[in-house]
Formats: sequence, structure tokens, C-alpha cells
Amino acid sequence: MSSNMIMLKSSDGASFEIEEAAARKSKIIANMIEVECVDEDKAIPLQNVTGNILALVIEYCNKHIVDDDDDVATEEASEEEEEAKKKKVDDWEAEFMNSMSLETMFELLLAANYLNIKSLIDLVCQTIANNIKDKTPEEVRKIFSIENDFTPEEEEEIRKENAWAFG
Amino acid sequence: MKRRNDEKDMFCISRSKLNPIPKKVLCEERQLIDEKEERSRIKVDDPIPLDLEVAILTRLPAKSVIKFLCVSKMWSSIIRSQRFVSSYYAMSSTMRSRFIITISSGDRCLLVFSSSYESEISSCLATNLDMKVPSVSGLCGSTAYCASVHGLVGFTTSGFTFTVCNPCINKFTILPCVGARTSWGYDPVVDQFKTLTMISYPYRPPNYTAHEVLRLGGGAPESNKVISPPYLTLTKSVCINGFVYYGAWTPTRSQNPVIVRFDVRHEKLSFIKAPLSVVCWEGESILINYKGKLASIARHPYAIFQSFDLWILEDVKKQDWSRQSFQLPFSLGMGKDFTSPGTNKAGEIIFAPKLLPLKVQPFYIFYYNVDRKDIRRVRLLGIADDQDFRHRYGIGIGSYCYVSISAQHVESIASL
Repeated sequence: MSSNMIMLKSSDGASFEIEEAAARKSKIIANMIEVECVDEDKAIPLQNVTGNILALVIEYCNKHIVDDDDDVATEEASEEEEEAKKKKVDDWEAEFMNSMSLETMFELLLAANYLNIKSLIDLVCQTIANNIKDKTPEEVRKIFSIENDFTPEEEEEIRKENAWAFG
Repeated sequence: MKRRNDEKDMFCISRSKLNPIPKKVLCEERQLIDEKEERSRIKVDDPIPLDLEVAILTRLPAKSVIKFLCVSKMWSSIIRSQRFVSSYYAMSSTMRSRFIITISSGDRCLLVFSSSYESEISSCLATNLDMKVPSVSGLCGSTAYCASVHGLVGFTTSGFTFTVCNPCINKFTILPCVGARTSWGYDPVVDQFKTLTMISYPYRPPNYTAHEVLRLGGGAPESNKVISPPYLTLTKSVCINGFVYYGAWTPTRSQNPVIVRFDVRHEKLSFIKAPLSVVCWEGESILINYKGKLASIARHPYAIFQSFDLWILEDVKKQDWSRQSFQLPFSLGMGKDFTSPGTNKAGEIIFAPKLLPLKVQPFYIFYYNVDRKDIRRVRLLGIADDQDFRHRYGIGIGSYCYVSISAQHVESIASL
């Protein structure tokens, strides 16, 4: 495994050093590395990601690159070991997402989407879903900045049809 | 994160300070900013791309998805689109497999309970009532049939009807059928549900057997008649990957045991030679989906249930069956009192009582592990285990109730 370090620069000018293997979690950066448009001395500018969000992304990538290495090394691991390992990752992810505000989650989601990190997109989407599942439609509109374009009658109709879901 | 919020607040204040604005406008603006500030606690500056909104929606429980139909016209049209229904199902099948228990009280109603697999390893599963299908009477006895196929539960109801319900979104549809024996099928290729109903009188077959197929979804069901060589069926059916299977004699009772295989997509029936013990117990035979293949649990229904043969249809074309014999570590009771709804995801064979106990007692199901050859007992909490159970759900104290389990029900937001 190569331990090349590459530099990432956030939209607000913060620079981060990250192992190439971890950075490759991002398909966008992996592609950049493939086509050799990464200059070793120059940081990759990420215009859509702020420093504090990029720090979270890097924390996630670093954690998961270690896990992927483990998988390769212990392909023959027993079922129990696999399960224990999976549980460890799940616990870490739960802890990672736990203290985050909904606002940060959305920013992290946009960053993961921009950098194309599939597993992080999945994780954040699921956490947001868990967070909003018991909210009212009004609260959800606010969270997603969605304007209610139903007439009161139309909305009432949908609510009546599905009264069970609003109970 | 806190730092960023503060910065935002500072930005808002400084902007209003720097730009002198006429007083009236200022008031409105101030109000806007207040609203904005309040919103910014939970809102991001950039809009969330639609595909990410969809990704979040597919990860919600079905009930929440239905609730959010009224968020906006855009969300409503996304949620109602066929594409979303399909991706929701795909997501469910990887992470939202549920355990469904239906209880038919014969003449009153059908109760659908469910449990998630979260506590699968433990010795009990908590269950919740998902829905009550009112004023339909589920059929009991050998023709009673209840199956979860691709997220929708189909069951026979009296008066030549077949009821399809989706417990996750609390919806049901009653279909008119032309006979009492109806099977529930799904074709994954064109994504269509169909029912297959036998029209011919089963005990005196003429020189052919007639069926009606109902093609469902998108308006009124289309009907098609399908003819096959004569047979007599008495077993329940199971739908596996676009094919419905059930046991039968050809052409008449006690002659040539076969499995009838209905190709849901092409609406054709064919016969597969079957071992005698797969079919011979007729209504008491057990057909299951065993790791994607048709299989049968063969045991003597009128003896103590302590051993069984697992027959697996290994090759449909060659009509090749394999057979393994298993001895249970202890007896479960009379053979006919137990059935198998199939396996769990790990491939353990589940055994469950067919009737709700008349007395108040814990309701147990059993998981048999064919590799380790051991059995474990799991209690379904909330089923028949307290004094008030029957009263609470409007089931008569002494009435017989049939229990049917679908071990791998997938949460769906589809309805007919």
C-alpha cells in the first residue's frame, strides 16, 4: 500500500494532508490521481467544501481505509470476527454521526456527494432519515427549504386519504 | 460547528448594518432575516440536489414516506412514481426485511402483526399490530392461503374473493375471483402482480383444467383464461422468482404426483415430476422457498413431529430432486399442527404452529439449523400471551384462529 501523502485545500483556505489511500475513498480524487493531474507539491483545491466539513470527511476516510486494509489481510477471518469487526465500524459510525447537528449533516452530505464517496453518502442519508422520520411535514419543509405548493384543500385531501400515517 | 453558526450570525448583522434601507423595507427585511436566522439553525445554504432527497426518502420507514406525500407536489410525484416504488423496495430488501404474522379469525377479520429482525439472535421477537383488515373473513382449513410476495400479502377470503394488503402502508384491495383456490404471484421481469385461480371443479376434472389469471396494477385488472392438462391440486402454493409452484395429482387423485409450475410472466403451466412424499399429504404438505429453490418439508402429519425429509428441487429441467433426512432434537408435537413458512435469511428452517392456542400461553416458533442440526426456540411477544389478547383484537374466546407467517417479508410502499 502506497503511503504517498497528498494535500487538500478547503474553500476557506485550510490545508489538510491525507494519505493517498484514504483520499482514494473519494472517486473524484481517485480519478484525479489516475489521470495524474495531482501535483505533489500543490494542494488539490476543493471549492465546495469548507475546512470544518473537510476535516470530518478526512476523519471518515482515514477510519475506513484502515478497515479496508484489515479486510484484505484477514480474508479467512471467521464469521464471529467479521461480525465483531462490523460492529466496531457501526459503533464508530454511530459515534461519528451522533453529536452532529442536522445542518452539519447536510453539509457533510453535500461534500460527500461532491467528492463522490458512496459509503459516506449512504451513512449520512440514513442518519438524516432516522432524524426526520418522526417529524411533521411542516418541519420537513423547513429543513429542506421546500415551499408548500399545495392548496390547503389539496393538502387536506392527502392527509385524509392517508390519515393512518399522520396518527 | 458552533463557530460557523456564530460567523453566520455576525454576517447577517453586519450586512443589515452596512446597508441603509428605507424604514418600511427594513421592517420587512428584518422579519425576513429573523426567519432566515431561525431557519439557518437547521438549513443549509445550498439546496439539496434532488437525487440526494430521493436517497434520504428511500431510507425512511414506509409510514414516514406516506406522511411526507404532503410536503410538496415534487415530493408527492417522486414518492408516487414507479421508479421510486422500485428503488424503495430494492433498499428494503437489503435492510428492511420483516417478519409478518397474520392471524385469521375465520369470520371476523384478519390481523397482520410484524416484527423487525433487530433482535433475531435473542430468544424473543417483539411484535406490533400493523393493520387489521376489517369485515373480510379469511378462509380456514386446507384452502386457507396467505403469502407475502414482493412486499404485498395475498390471502384467500370467503365468497370467491382474494384480498391483497400492504401492512406497511395500511392499504388493502379485495379482488373478485372466479374460484376459491387462488395463488398469488409476482413477475420480477415486468414488475407485475398476478393471481391464478382454478376454475374447474377440482374433484371431477374434465379432460382439461381451466384457470383465470388476473393481471394487476394500473387500473382495472385484466383477465386471461389459461388451460392445462387435467390435474387435482390440494396443496398451498409458493411463489419463487417469477414462478408459482404447488403440488398436484395428474390427472386425478393418487395418480402421478407432480409440482405444477406456473410461469407468471408468460402465463403458462407445466408439470414437474415430484416424489410421492412431497404431494401425498395434500393439504398438509409443506412447500417452501429454500435458498431460492422449491423445497418440501416431508413429515407424517398424523405422527409426532420429530423428524423430516427435506426434498429440494435441484434442477427444474431435469426434474431432479435431492433428499436429506433430519432428526429434531426434541418433538414439536403433532405433525399436522406445525408448518414451515420457509427459512430466515441465514437459511435456518422455521417451524411454526398453524393455530393460535386457545389458552393463554407464550407463542413459540422454532429455527432449525441444518448444518449444526440444532433447534432454537423464539417467543413471539404480544401474540396470544395475555388474558386480554383475544378481547383486544375482537377474536372470540373459543374460536379457532389460523396463524400464517411470512419470514422474509420486504417492506414496500406499493399498492394495487
